[in-house]
Parts: sequence; structure tokens; C-alpha cells
Amino acid sequence: MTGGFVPRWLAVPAVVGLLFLLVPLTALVARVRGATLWSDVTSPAALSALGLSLGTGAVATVLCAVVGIPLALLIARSPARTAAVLRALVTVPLVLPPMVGGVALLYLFGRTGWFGALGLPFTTPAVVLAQVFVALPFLVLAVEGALRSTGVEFERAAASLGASRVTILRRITLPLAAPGIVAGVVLCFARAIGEFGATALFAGNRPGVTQTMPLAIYTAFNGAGVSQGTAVALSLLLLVTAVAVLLLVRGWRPGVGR
Amino acid sequence: MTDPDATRPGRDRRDAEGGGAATPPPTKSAPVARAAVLTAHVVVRRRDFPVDLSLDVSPGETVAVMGRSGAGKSTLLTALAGLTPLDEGEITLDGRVLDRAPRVRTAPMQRGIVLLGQDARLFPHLTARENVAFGPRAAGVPASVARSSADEWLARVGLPGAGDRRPAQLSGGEQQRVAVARALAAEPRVVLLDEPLVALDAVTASEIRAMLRERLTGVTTIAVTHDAVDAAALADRLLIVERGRVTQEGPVREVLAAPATAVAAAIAGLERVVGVARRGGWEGAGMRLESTDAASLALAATDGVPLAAVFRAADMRIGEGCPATVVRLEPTPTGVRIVTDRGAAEVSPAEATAIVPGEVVLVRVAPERVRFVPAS
Repeated sequence: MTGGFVPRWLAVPAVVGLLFLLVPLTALVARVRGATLWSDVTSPAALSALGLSLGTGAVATVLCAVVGIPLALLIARSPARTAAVLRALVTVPLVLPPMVGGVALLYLFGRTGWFGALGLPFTTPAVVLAQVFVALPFLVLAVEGALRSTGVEFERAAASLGASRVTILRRITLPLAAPGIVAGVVLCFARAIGEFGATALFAGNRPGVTQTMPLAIYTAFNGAGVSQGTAVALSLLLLVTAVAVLLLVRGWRPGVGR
Repeated sequence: MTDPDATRPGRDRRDAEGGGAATPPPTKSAPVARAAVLTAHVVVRRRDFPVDLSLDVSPGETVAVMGRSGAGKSTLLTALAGLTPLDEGEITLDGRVLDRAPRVRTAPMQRGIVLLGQDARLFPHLTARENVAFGPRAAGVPASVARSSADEWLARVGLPGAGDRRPAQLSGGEQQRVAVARALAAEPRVVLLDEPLVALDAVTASEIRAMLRERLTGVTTIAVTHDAVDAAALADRLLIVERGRVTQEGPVREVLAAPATAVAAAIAGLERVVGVARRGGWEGAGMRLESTDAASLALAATDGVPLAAVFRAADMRIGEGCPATVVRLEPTPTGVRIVTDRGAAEVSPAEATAIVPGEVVLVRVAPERVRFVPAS
């Protein structure tokens, strides 16, 4: 610990925490069987699950950005009390077990639900809906935090220089919130491709239609016709995907020169 | 600011259409915003006291507004900038009503009034050039034209070649220079200054003050400041604001030489002691002062009229005259301020060594150094 005056012995629990996060992943990687890895990963079932996960995750992330950034703006520019209420509402799906979210979505879109006529459950769009439901709070909270900490002073300066609201949004507000938006989008995408509970209940587990990576891993692990080796390989694939996304974002910095 | 051929009517048309319309092709020389007439009666009810200020600014005039913190100066500026709604009153620019309480309100972006604060508020993600080009680009000027004009503006504020630098790479003074360029490049009708020099060191502040003086010539400006030096350097007229009201108004030097209130005297750096006219002089606080100033003598001609004696602390001599009790001693950069119940004197450190609080000393101010002003 170079900076500050933190008690040195705090390094011990800190390292324990770090190991707790890393050792299980190491154990996972250790179980990978090199001989069958390639065939496991490139099996039609695995590739189909990977494709479905990335595809639905991407669509869900775009949808989250389209509604989440405006929602974050609304919260960030509301009076303190209103903002606190809105923030609490947005946080609910975050602290709710995803299973409960799945049940709620079923009651809304199920045959007897308010929007039952749409026939959504157990389709690919249902996967996307479940992912949006669980991932949206991550994006909204990250973007809202960035917007709030930037404040409105730069926007006032821009308005005083004659810029329209749209110009201010495009050239000042969004670029200044870019780090928060990037963080929010990454968290959102990561949460979306990892989503299991709500998807399982609301979208089911149909290979090629709703069986995303997490569901494929669960299915493989339960040994329903596939080996545990497949589950391990798929888990590794998901891990690599997550790390790749993180590295990609690390490498790209928004155009802020400080 | 110096090239009359470069006047551009673009802002007028833009205002009439509520912003966004294209401007005529800009010229290569310095753009000059046409100076505007501003009239304002600003009433804003606050929790402490209502701010009720009236202000008329002629085209190209600079009016300084001074007063204690919280007196309502910043409220005036934010109201003029369209950031604080009026509870009563009206703001017009060249005869066009910007605000009329309670209905008419013009958005900040459509007023042509730009606010320069003590924080430069440069957009951190844009280069100096893009910061300066922001206003023109928002008004529809093509990016390449706005950028080359921005480079010219940067040169005019003393930062040639700094276009590619980011705000974080600029010193506080350089940031304020860019902020001035950015504000003027937007061709405002009125410039509002809210203590733009207060966060800078004395040397930098003095340089930027000189640059502002040059660049704001002919631009209708309202400058809020705590420093009489700023007012004297930048402004034609000075308004003293106390608890939301204008208590004195006039040419800067006249107000500073004859402050009508204690606050105005403190701003001008003068001692002000209230008394009455007696036998052609001033008497108060057990002391008698004479004056050689004609206006002061005229005021003192009527016995019993409330008068305030005004003088510089450094002009009060210790050792002869009327007795006064020393209240406290305050070291100053050049000596020691002896605060007495008859006003304060400034003496050299050597003279101050023998003086202690509570002591009775004799004080006198030479008549040619004293002015009398009406006391209310």
C-alpha cells in the first residue's frame, strides 16, 4: 500500500478476497480437457448457444442503451427527491432474484397476462426481454452516476453560447458521460449474456431458439445427453468472452485527454 | 473588436427565428458583435430578502456591480443570462423583450447573452480550438470556418498556436483566456462577467484584466467584482448593491471617491465616519474635521445636516488632533492599520510599536485629504 495511511494488516483479508474470486476460475480452467476442448467448443450445440447468447445479448444491450440513457438523463436531471425515488425503482430488478423477474415477465406476457396476445414466452424475443429486464439497471445506474457527477454547469455554458438542446446533448452531455456510458454498456452486455434465471422461466430452454450459453451449461452439467466436459468447455468460452469484452473496452478510451 | 468592417448581422436573424438558422459567411477579420442596449428590472424573491435591481446599459458600455457576498449580484447575472426566472420585472435587449414576469421567458440559448464566471468551464473533452469554435458551430457556421476563426480568436487573447491543447493542459490564466475567446467568438450582444479574475494570482489577473479591457471595448458588459481595481480598469459606471438594492450609482471614480454608504466606502478602501455639519466643517464621534473640497464645503454649509467624512486610512495622522481610542491593530502589506473608534489610520511598523489596543491617541486628517458626503 503505497498511498494513504491504511493499516498494513488489511492486506491479508484483501488478498483472501482476491483469491476467493480467482481460485474458482483457476479450478475451472484446470478441469478443461485439452483433447476434447476444440470439439466441445465447436460442437453444433455449443456454437448455436454461443451465437444465440451473443446475438440476444447485443440486441438487449442496444435496447437498454436506447431506453436506458434517456432514463439516466431523466433521473440525473430530476430534483433530488424525485431522483432518489426513481433510482430506487430502477434498482429493484438489480436486487431481485432473476427467477422472480422471470415469473413477473410470465405473468405480464403469458397466455393469460396483460400482453398475452403477443405470444412471446418461449421465443427468442423472450430471451431478449428477460435480458433487458435484468441488465437495464446496470446501464442506467452507471450512466446516471456519470451524468450526475458531471453536473449541468457545462450544459449551461453551452446554452449561454447559443447551442440548442440537441446540440448540447450531442456535443457536451453525452461525450462528457462517455466513460459512464461505456462502463454501463459493458456491464449491461456482460449481465445480459450471463442471464439465466429469468430466461429459464420466461423463455425456456429450447436449443437454437432460447438455449443461451448459461442454459446450455446448466443442461450439459445435468448430463441430459451431453457430458460435463461440454459444460466445462462452454463455461470457459463464456469466461473468455467476458475477458475479451473487458480487454476491448480497456483498450478503447473515449476521446478525453485527461 | 477593432475592425468596424467586420460587423455581422447574423445574430439578429438567428434571434428572430429562435436559433439554428444559417449565418452569412463570416469574414476573415475580427467579428464584432453589435453592441446592444440592455434594460433590466429584475425582481427575484429569495429566502433572505428580495433582489430588486434596475439597470440600464448603453451600447458598448461596461457597468461594474459591486457589493458584499450574497447581496444579489450573482442573482442579477443569472437572471440576465436566463438561468433564474424573474418574479417580477422585465429584461429587454435593443427594445426586444427577453423576459417579462410571469409569462415571457427567453431560453438562455436564444438571448445572445454570454456569462463568463470565475471558473472558465471549458469543455474538458474538446481542444481549445473546438471550445472557441463551439458557439459559431452551434449557430451553423461550417466547422472549418469556425475552426480557423477560433485560431484567430486564440491569437487575439494571447494564445497563438494553442488550438490543439486540451483544457487540462492549460494553466488557470490560459483557461480564462480561452473562455474569453470562446465567449466573444459566439458574438454575444451582452457579456456578463462574474468575477472572472478572482481565482487567478495577482500577476495573471492583471494580465487578463488588461486583455479584457482591450477585448471588451465596445461590447455591452456587466461585470460583477469584489475588486475596485477591476471596476476602475474595466467599467464606465459602478453600481453598489446592498441587500438586493442599488444604493449608489455613478461613474466609477466618482462613486469610489465619494462612497454614500459604509459598504461603498469599504469597497473603495476608504474610512467613512458619520457625523453632522458644524460651522463649515464636520463633527462626529468627538472629532472635528475640515475639508478644502468645494463640494464638501457646500454640503457642510448648513449646520446640523447629517454628513459622513470620507478619507483614506493612510491619510490619518497619529500624534496630534482629536483623542481616539485604539480598538485593534491590523498588519497590512505596507504597515499597520490602527483601528480606532474615530476611524482607522495606517502607519509604518516603526510608528506602531508604541501603540497598544485601549490606548488613547490623537488623530488628525489634513483638510485637503477629507471629503464630506451626505449621510442618510
